Amino acid sequence: MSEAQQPPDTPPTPPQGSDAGPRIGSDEWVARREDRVARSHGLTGQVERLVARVPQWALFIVFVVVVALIPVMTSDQYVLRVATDTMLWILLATGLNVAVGWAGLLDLGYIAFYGFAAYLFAELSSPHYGIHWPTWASVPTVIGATIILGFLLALPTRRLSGDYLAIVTLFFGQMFVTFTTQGRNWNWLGFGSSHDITGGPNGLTSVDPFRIFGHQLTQVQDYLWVALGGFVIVALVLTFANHSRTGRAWRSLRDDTLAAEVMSMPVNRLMLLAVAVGAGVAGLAGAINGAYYQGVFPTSFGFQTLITVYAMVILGGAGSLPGVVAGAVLINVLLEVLRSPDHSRWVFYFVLISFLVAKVRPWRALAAVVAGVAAFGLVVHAIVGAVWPRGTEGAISSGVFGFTTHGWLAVILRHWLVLPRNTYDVANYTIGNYALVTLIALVLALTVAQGVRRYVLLVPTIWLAAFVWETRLIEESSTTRPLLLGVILIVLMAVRPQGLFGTPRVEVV
Amino acid sequence: MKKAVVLALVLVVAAGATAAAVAQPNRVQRTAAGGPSCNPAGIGFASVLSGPAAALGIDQEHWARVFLLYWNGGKPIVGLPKNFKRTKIKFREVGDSQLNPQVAATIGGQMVANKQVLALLGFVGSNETLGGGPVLDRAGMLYISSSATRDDLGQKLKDFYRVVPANIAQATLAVTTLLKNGVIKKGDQAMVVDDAEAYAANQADDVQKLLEAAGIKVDRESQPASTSSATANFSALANKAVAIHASVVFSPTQVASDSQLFTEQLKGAGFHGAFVAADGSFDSTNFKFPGAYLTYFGADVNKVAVAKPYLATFTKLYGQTLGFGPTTFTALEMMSIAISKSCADGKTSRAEVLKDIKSASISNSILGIPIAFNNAADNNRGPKSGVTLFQIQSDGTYKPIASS
Amino acid sequence: MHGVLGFQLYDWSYFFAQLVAGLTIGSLYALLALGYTMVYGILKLLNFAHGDVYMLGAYMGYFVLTALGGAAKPSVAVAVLFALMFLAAMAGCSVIGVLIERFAYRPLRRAPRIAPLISALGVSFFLQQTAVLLFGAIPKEYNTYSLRNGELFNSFSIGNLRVQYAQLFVFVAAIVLMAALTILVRRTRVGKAMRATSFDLEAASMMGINVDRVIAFTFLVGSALAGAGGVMTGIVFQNIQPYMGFGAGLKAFTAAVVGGIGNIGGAMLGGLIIGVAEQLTTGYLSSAFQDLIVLSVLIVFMLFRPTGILGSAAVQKV
Repeated sequence: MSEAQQPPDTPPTPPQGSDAGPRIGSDEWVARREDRVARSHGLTGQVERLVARVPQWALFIVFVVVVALIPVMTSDQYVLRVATDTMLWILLATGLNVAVGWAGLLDLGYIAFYGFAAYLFAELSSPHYGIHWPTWASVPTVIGATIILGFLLALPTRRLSGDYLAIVTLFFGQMFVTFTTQGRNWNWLGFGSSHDITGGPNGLTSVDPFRIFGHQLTQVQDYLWVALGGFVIVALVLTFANHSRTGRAWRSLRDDTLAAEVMSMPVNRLMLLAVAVGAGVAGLAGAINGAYYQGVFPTSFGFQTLITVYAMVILGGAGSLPGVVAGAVLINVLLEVLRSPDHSRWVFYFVLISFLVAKVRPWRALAAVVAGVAAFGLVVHAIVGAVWPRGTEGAISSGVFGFTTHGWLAVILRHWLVLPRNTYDVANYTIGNYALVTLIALVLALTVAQGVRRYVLLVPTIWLAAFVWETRLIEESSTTRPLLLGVILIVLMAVRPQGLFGTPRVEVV
Repeated sequence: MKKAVVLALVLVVAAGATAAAVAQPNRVQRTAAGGPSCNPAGIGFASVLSGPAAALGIDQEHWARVFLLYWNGGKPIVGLPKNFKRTKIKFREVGDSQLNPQVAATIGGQMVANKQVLALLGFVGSNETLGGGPVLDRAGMLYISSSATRDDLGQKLKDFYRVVPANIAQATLAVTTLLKNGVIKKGDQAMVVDDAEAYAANQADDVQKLLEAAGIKVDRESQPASTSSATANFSALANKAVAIHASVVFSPTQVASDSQLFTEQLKGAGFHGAFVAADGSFDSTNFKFPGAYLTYFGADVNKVAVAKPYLATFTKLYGQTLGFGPTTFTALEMMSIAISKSCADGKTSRAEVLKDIKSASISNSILGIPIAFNNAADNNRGPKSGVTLFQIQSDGTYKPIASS
Repeated sequence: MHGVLGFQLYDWSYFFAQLVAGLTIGSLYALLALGYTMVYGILKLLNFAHGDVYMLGAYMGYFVLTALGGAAKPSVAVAVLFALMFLAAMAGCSVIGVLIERFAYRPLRRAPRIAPLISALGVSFFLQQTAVLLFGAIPKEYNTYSLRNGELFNSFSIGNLRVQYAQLFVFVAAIVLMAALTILVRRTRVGKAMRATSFDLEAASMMGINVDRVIAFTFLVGSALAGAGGVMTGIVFQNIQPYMGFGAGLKAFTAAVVGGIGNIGGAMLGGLIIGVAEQLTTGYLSSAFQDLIVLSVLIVFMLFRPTGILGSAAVQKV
């Protein structure tokens, strides 16, 4: 490959981030090449090239085999459930990737397709209407209906800019939640008797499980395999689509809609197709969802679910199929790990340290910052301990009802941080809250600071972050999880909009 | 750019390692014998701890903590026989169901997977109970809810118990008392408003059925509560209630401040009928509109004499209670009694706890009523209906005017 | 929806009562829609976080209210109390709006269109959850009903029309703010700069307009209006909670689109229309249909008049 034979002189450094302005005079191919050249230097470049040499289909096969063997490796119900949930999320992320990643359309009603499919499946296979369609009939019907719904939804906005699609789909998502919540006593604008269409807030329960070849699927691992099988089919179909004319047309739509239209691309049709295909994948996921949980409820298909899927797609890299799979796995595992403070603590400090290692160069600066943080913490601890003894008597919480963790990490933290006794005391909430606001301000200031001031500011910020984590965020891990999703989205867009595995896109002037 | 890749690789490794760590079957220390420990005995807690309704779950969690302070500390607890032999209780798992029944199923799996968990204090809503309950039923684990009030739960689920009466109890008391007192009569018009959540919708359904059976016309409405994504605005409904000459408005919402707002807007629109709320609005600091009615199981925890010390401890630690949590105290009490009974011989199991809960009973509780699972109407899974109808006085206090 | 009374004809006073209620909430939607429409006009960005700025404004007003003794026993005169609440909320929200623009949107000015939208989603979610952490998820009450024994909610009649003082206050305050905004945009230099920037950002910057500052100023004004809207919501509707911005934001979106996105008069008109449609639906059909009707209005406009009522067809220059 040509990169290996690059001249040894340093290539021009591509500008970092997108605020360097459009690269006037360079076209996209050139811009990509600069990036590729920059990437090929150093150890990471070599690792990247190694990974790039492994063909995608090999990675795919390895992934499928590993997931299929999970139920063989463990019989822990919790792990199996998490794995199955993750598989469903992977399916969802793959579908969203079509609209958002490949066609560049912001489809904010995506979860409504998911919910619609789940509800339709429940209507067709539950005691609600007394219909019990066989699986081979209900699943394709559900998928087909969802595709039609996606098509219908995108129809009013086909001649308008993508922002209108965002508004309409966002509103439709909200509408869907309202409809399912109110659907218990539905009558047609006051005429006729009332019908119970969606079961209202109670949802629809006792949904039939899948029946494949006469065998009823009741175990968790059955659905893991079903979801995996669905993913394999979807991934193959979508990859073929992506490498075909349609995929290229979608990419042209994403990169410059006006130019695509001028080049006589059927922009409207492509847009409808992208939304419909995404809806179809969501339809499959929804059908599996209905059978797996054996019940559908309105609260499962709301805004929080939408943000979670978006975080997965964006983190993994919109437009890259392996990327969104990785994103889905990472986010879901992260969310699960955050359920338990003992585990999430490790992740937090690990991420903090890796961030320092990755971002603070050269080594001398890194050592100075680390030493500074340690010293800062010990000094503050000593001062607070002298002035307000109760302030340092607290223990490291393990989140489970105030019981505490021991171990070497806890010992370090107890001496390095200021932990008020009874972090659950109302008064101590306030301290944590002020610290949180200060932390946000410090982080914002960090992004604008330059040079030495940046390192100096980094020291109290790190300490404060650990403080807020231990006193507020870890106690309320259930608010921290969605908070982190929002932060991930913001930070990713500012720092690395292409996510982990996406390709950087250049806005050509 | 390179750093980002390094970070990514590091994250992947970290995720893998953590996943592996999480997957370890012995996440918690085991006893030497290998069965669930009796010292301390482990239980789980599941409620809604994030999202719009987080305040309710957190209130429950705080009351559970207060209970454990007293129980593990050997201090006297209301309703418990004096020399009752206690087993120390410890929470081994905490789950946030996010009011999402599908998440509740995952949490059910989490509880079942931890062999040290003998029983679950949860779930918070009727939907989650239906979502996560079957998982626990299959594993044969006891779960006691302090807030799931849907009528058919006792019939549908196997190992489910609750310390609150089902919805029908409150609806029946409210409707029959108002009919008896002549506040409403046959041929009247009523307006029933739910807040688009499962709890209120089920209550509203029960009220509607009872009203219609009594020959009263019902206009059924639905206005999302303030804890959804909207600010509740009842002005249109208030105008409508006046225009249709409704003699009563039922609003079994979960948010007390919404009931207060509704009554104020009703007054502003010129409404002269009665307003009835349910136990979700039982909160004398937020809902204090004179003349309004509301139902509640047991008495006001602020007024129950035996609840005073516990309430004082709670206020000192966590500030003001929402009124949603005291039932958790009682539920945990019943569970702890069952576990202690099963641990009498030093060994226990989930099946033993299930057996012992049937005979657990307390002569009094911080709700002011005795609790035992012998109420045929709730399939022996709930307490004898201890519902009271209150009317708010002109000084904002709640006065009981009827009970069942 | 069971037992809906159908299209029963009530008397005029009922219609007017619902109309007044609609205009009240419509004014709030209009205030929010203004922020959306101004930002979209300049940046072509749908600022999802705007609703949450509104929520933060409501909380700021609440804290000022509590600091000054609460609604039951305010330590200052009512007029001063309200003025302080508004000032605090508007000032605080403008700061937050400027910060959001500076840190979440400005780095993405040259990125593909989808990037700032995603960032906006993230900011919205982040603000909601931070509010839960800081303020708790329990709704807080303004309790203005106990202000001077509920005087604010007494009503006066003009013929068949019955209006509460609170409703009148919201409507008038909204009109005043919108008039001030119109004067700002039409009669001042910075307003001219805003109009120029929204017409053509590149050309405006080439004409010597400091585009960054104009954009920051737009966010400042829009967020200040949202803050005022938040305080008004608290005063009239009493209950505030961290998720209130989401639903209101959606409706305000629709209002901006219906009125003509990018058009300030359109935002006001759209807000009032949406508010009235909502209340009339509840009044004559059922409260369960109100969101559905708003969506239908949106879809109808999308299909037949995408530029909205007052918007002009945008010519896309190549």
